[in-house]
Amino acid sequence: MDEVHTTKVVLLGRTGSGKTSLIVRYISSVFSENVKPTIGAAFSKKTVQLIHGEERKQVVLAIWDTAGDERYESMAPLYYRNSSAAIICFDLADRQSYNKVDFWVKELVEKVEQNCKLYICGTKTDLLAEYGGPLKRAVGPTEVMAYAKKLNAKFVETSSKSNYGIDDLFKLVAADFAGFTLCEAPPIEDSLRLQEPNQTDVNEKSSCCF
Amino acid sequence: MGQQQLQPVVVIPIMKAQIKELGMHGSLSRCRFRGVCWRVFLDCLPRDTSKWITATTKLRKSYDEIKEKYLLDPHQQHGKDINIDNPLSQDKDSVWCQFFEHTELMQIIEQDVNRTFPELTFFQSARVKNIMMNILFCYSRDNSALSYRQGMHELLAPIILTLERDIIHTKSKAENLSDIAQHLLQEKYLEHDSFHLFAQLMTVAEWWYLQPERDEMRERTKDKSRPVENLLDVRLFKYDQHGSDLDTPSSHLAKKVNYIQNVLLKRIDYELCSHLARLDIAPQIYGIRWIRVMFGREFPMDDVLVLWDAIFADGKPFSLVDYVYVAMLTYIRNWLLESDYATCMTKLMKYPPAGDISYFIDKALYVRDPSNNMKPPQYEYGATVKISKKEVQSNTSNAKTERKFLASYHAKTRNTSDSKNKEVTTKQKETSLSVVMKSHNTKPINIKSTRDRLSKGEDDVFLSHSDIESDLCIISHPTNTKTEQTPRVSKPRSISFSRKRSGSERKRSTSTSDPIDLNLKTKFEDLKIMCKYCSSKMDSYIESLQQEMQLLSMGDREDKILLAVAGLKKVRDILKGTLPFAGSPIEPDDVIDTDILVPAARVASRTPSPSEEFESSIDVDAEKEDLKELVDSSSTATDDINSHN
Repeated sequence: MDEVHTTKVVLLGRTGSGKTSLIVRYISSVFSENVKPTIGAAFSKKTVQLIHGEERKQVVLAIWDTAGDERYESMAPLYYRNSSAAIICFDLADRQSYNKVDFWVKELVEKVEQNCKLYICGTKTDLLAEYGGPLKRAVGPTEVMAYAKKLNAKFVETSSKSNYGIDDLFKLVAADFAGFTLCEAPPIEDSLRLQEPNQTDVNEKSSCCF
Repeated sequence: MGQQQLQPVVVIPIMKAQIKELGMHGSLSRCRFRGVCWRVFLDCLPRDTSKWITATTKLRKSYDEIKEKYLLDPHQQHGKDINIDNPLSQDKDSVWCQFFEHTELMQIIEQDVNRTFPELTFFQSARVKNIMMNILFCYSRDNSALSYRQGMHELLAPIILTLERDIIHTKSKAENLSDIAQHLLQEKYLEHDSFHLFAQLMTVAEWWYLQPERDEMRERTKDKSRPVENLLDVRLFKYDQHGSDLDTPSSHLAKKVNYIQNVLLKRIDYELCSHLARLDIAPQIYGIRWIRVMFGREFPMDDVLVLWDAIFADGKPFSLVDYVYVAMLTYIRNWLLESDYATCMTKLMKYPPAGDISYFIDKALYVRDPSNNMKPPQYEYGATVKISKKEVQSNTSNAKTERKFLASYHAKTRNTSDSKNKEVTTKQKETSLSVVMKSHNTKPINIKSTRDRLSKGEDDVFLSHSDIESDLCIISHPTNTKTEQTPRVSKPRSISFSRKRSGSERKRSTSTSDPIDLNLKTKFEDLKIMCKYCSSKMDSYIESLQQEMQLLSMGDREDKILLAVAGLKKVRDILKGTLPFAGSPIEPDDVIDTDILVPAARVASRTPSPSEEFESSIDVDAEKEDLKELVDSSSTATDDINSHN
């Protein structure tokens, strides 16, 4: 009999950073270009199976999507209270979006959850030139990683459109929660290179505009 | 002439009540002037129609001014002083400084506008997007304390859609429109008119967006040194009510949704209210979205518009919103009652599709004011409601009827209150919201809905639209036409002030309804349903009485009893409507004529006082019937009758 654990995960981040798309991709395996902005919050759950040698665990992720409009902030604690994990999203091609990450981190740490594990998630890799997209990276990976390290947070990159890194992200969240070390879980730095959809622009990858 | 000029003044208050009724009953959905009705409801148009043109012109001009003030393009503003107005200026008054300051606001608005109802192509056009952006930007600047908040765009979108539909619907007949209608419905002013309608809506809706001051919040948060809770708490998913209340000053909206769930819902559904409380479901979590976009996410667009018709018609401060909220909870009540926290949450956050939007309006009106509104038939999500054992035992036929009841509200509203629907239809047909105006046109021009009332020839213009039944009519009249001068004040049912009318029209134009009238009709319907209920109940009691009589010996009292039964049958037939009620009490000798029909031979003679038994059995049965059952089964009776028809 598998052990079953339940945990609450909350997604935060600036409006338009792709929180809802990330969840929709993870839960329903679909992607649409225009997702209505979240008003209030949304709730969904999914079970993750973890196998480590002989040990098997089931983790039920209760995932809370929130509104990106930070002026709704007084509502936010309602959603992120008791979260064991927070995924803070930003659009890799939008500097303003990245600038808001710190706001949400402070919000979370200062107001409610000291014990909450943090994941910084750069979204929309499909838009980046290095993956064949039209836009440039707005913030370099080294900058984000340095910031993440300071917070003791993990940094991942995803694309809801090309379904890149999403299952891994939630698996990582579940494993961390259950106290598993995923054998296939890459170190933070390597997580960037996980499942690269487009290998052609590897050289460009290290370059960044900031 | 003097009288003619007076008319609009007389018309409008009545007209407002009239279109209000239409709005309440979902009848505006086929109205080509729904937007105009909304403008009347939300006070964008004054009561006096003769002032519509000037009022509209004034509002449009004011929007132009607002727009000029906020949507300044620094490239085109040749500032008075180049030292202040240049892109590198640090001066706060510089047009450039203001321009940069609000670029982010514009970006956020643009992002949401691009994501407005992606399923509807109307909102994908650059023209509409541009209109939305301008309006939202101007509104945010003009209300800088509130600024723009996500969700506002979805309050604006249906407004633009509705006003645009008005314009499109009347475009091809532009030359037939009166001066007023032409003035009101102009494509180039879509943005202006939408802005003001939106601003009016926001005078109420802003309370749903306001948040407590950030500083105030920080203060409070710092004061609280909340103990760190165990993350593996059983309340893991849940909202920590006490903690949250202490930490965060509640917004106006949070108070509102809490009031709805904890007070309004409790009043009518204690069980559901306590279930939600037990599960610790905070209304903020699902309710904020329901209210902020006024149910725009919970129902498809056309249903949303019908809902808004009623909310707007009901008027500010849109108190109907609270009761629609309650109706939405009760619609899924049984489903919620069976569910745990996570399932409840999922359903509340992803509201199940509802068959008939009018249920929510009817129910909301009923919950708010049960004495003046008809109780809508029971209608629930999934229609898988368990019938309580007691009911099944006590009356199987009742259980059957109840089950039937849950089938579909749609079918029900059609059948149950067929006559009510007829009424509404009649109302639609007969209502000509005529705003009489003087036209310089010599050719008679009519825009109207009233098929029945107006002669065929006059109807040609619009009757090609078979779906159009009710319209706000803005009828232009030729100055040289002989007209009927007297408003039918003596007949409050008619609000037609059409001055040109044939004799036959006059005959037909007697019944439209004002609120009092509708009230009476509703009461009449109630009584009718009650009669049907009583007659069907009497049927079954008489039957069981007769069966019992067969087993009993009544001796010489038999005649009396038979007479009494016959009398009861007569009363039943009167209630059923199959026997005319002459207005006089039933004569004892009448009774014998009726069809009785207990074979005397089979009647045994045992019970000393059968009449007593009869009475007591009625009493017991009557006690069993509660009010709910009464309405339910009586409407089923109507249901059956109507299905025969």
